[in-house]
Amino acid sequence: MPQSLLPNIMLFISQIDPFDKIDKAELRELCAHVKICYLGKGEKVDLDEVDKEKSLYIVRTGSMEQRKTDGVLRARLGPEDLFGFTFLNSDVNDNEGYYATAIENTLLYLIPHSALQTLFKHSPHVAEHFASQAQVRLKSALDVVWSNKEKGLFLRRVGDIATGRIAIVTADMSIKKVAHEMRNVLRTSCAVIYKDSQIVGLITDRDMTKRVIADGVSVDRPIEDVMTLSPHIIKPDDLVLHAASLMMQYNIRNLPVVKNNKVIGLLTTSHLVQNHRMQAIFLIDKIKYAGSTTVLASFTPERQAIFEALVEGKVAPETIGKVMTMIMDAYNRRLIQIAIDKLGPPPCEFSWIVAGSHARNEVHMLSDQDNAIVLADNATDNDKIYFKHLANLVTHGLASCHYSLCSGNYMASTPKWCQSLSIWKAYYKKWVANPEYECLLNISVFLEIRTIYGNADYETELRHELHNNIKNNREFLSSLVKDAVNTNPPLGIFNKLVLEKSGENKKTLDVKKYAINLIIDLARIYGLAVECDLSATDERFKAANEKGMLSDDSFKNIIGAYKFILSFRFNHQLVALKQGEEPNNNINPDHFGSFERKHLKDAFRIIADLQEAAKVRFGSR
Amino acid sequence: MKLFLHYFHPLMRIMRERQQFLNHENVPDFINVNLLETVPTLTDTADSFDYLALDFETTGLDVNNDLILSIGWVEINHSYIDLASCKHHYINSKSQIKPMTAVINHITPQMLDEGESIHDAIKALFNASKGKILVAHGCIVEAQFLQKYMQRNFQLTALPLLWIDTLSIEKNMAMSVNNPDIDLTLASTRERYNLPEYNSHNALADAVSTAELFLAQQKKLQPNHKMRFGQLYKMSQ
Repeated sequence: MPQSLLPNIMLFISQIDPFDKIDKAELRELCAHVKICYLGKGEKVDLDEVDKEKSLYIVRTGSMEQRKTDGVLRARLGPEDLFGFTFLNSDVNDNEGYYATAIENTLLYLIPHSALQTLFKHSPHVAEHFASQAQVRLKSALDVVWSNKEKGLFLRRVGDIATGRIAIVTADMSIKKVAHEMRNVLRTSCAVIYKDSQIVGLITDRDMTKRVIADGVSVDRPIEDVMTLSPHIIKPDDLVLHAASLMMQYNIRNLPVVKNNKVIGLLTTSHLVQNHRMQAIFLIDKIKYAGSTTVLASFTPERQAIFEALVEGKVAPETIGKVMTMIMDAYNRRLIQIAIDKLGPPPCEFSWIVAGSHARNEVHMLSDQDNAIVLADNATDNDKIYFKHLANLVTHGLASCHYSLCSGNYMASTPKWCQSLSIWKAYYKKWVANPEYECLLNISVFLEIRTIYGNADYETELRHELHNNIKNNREFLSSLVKDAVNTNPPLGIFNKLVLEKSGENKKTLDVKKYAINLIIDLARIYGLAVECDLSATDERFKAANEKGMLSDDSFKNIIGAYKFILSFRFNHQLVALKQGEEPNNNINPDHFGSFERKHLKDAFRIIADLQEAAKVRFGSR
Repeated sequence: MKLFLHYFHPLMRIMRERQQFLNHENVPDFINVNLLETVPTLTDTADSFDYLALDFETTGLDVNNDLILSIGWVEINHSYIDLASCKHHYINSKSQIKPMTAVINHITPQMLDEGESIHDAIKALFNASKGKILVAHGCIVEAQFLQKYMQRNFQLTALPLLWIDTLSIEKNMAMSVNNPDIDLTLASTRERYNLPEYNSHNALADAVSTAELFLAQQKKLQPNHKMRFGQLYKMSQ
């Protein structure tokens, strides 16, 4: 193109992701090869046509829709949207052909494949931005948004801070010899014990005091007699946060850092306290010792600050969910303890079970409470009155700490959800046997359960019951699928159907209803199909993938989409919080950048694809 | 009867003029490359030809006194506008520039210093137009300035080039629906077609704008099938 170039066309292209990442001179060179065509309404671009030069298409004005060869809608495209990506990677044998049709008169800019290849040859780093697979694109999106450059507090890896020394001994060594090794050779408080080159145990100086001296065990006995069996370990690239939560959860002070079965360090509680002000942990600590509901309620701003720090620190969205869950667990446990202090000891065994997102470890700033009480079968009617009071104190306590009451009353304070184990078993049986609409609603809340106080065996028994019932009634999964695919992700963001009027009458996209819930539903179906005991969305998909029910590709795609949308929502909520507004899930499409729009569309398409796959796999005939 | 009507079809008329011109005048070769290679018939479809959309920026509309400031063009091949074929020539004519018009057209004296001779530019234009049909918005300006140039330099009294005029097409379409009062400028016309807003007063940008409009007009005239060239040419009168 001559010196004057065409500022209009170049300017337009330069604003579109990923062209905004190309330097000016290269972009000018690329723009010089643009071709322009105009499609009348209804005209098609056949992307599989053999002899035509492959191109990347950019919609300039008008709109297009992409359909697969079987006619299924793939995406709706408007100005600034790209298509034809599939062909950029010539070695992808793409059997998933599609065509694009103009749904109104449309002006398209075409960037020939050859011009892009030349660009990639000169600047290989640009190529990644043009990666053909949506999955690769989503991944690079995450990298762009969360650059690792500034490693925030929560991004630290265990390997970065675990400097402790640890003695390495074998199971047959005498207690005396191990103590010598620890005290005199390495001067460490901890030893890890190997047997047949596997880590089998751990011993600390405190264990020596408690289990050897106090119990009067002979120091000539082998160490394996007194060691802690199958100790918790941590990997060097695990998040420090993960280590902290393990330590809190199991009340342990020493975590061996292990890589490929080799101990490479030791992480102790003092590492965490000395080196890092772990706000979240401090908050949890404060919650543990708070004396009243009023004190607990005063922590809300601190909780919000942690949430903001996590989102701003570009922490992976599933980690944010876990941290927020740890905090909510702490509130919930403390409130139960406060209630017990007030009401006296519980008259029978029970467990406080959380459900829904709380059970899945996916708590965020908007999460409400879903919980229930499972009582021992010998509970009397009088006992039930005690637990009714307990549940009331706890649920209202949570509400005053800004965990709003569940609008569907899925709470322990509802008599129906405060029942004995055998009644709960009967519930599950009934729900699975008659997956009618209302039952599905109930069960989808209680399909994820996690004990946070009391007897954890009830949870295990109930899950076992659930899995058995499902095994005997495969129709149940197909009902879940039917329900899950009732809502489809929007294939075009500007599709009027999906923009809903929010409170202030603005047209917005409900990202929870049209994306997050759909993914969670799919994860649940896949998780149940492989009887996965874990309930986190990502872990369920992982389990399905490991059991061969979900291809590697689909797995990576859906996880990428899930993470992208979660972080998208977190950022949206962060903006609201910072402006002192109530965070919500309704996003004004005018606020999307070109980057978000494209990646959201990819994510929506991935969800739609998996819905289709689930229909085929689990659908009833 | 049909043959008789064909005889008076504007396309047939211009082709006859062209034949006479080639027979009688002593035409420089660089003009002939345009004239000899495109011989459309009434039944050819419009998309079977390639086009060259062009635009002149001039100091005014008086061919006797005004000057060409710049020439821009772009090829339309197989209905695709090919930006790789874009050319933009600033014509070196600093001595004859009226400073006022240079300001209006956003052409700085500097640009004109660096410009090239009108002869090279016109020659390049005709070379680029080999086997192509010319397209302009309000082609009367371009046609007259070209003819004037030929008259001055080669003493040609006529220049029977084949022009498609997007302005005339627009006007004829408006007349046919009894709507004669619309704004026919390139920018307003493009707006009606929902084409993007390009900054104008740049010969190349206008050439590309015209090319896009030309593609859009064909879809409007014949949404469902291919346009015949004869019809398009008649609309363009």
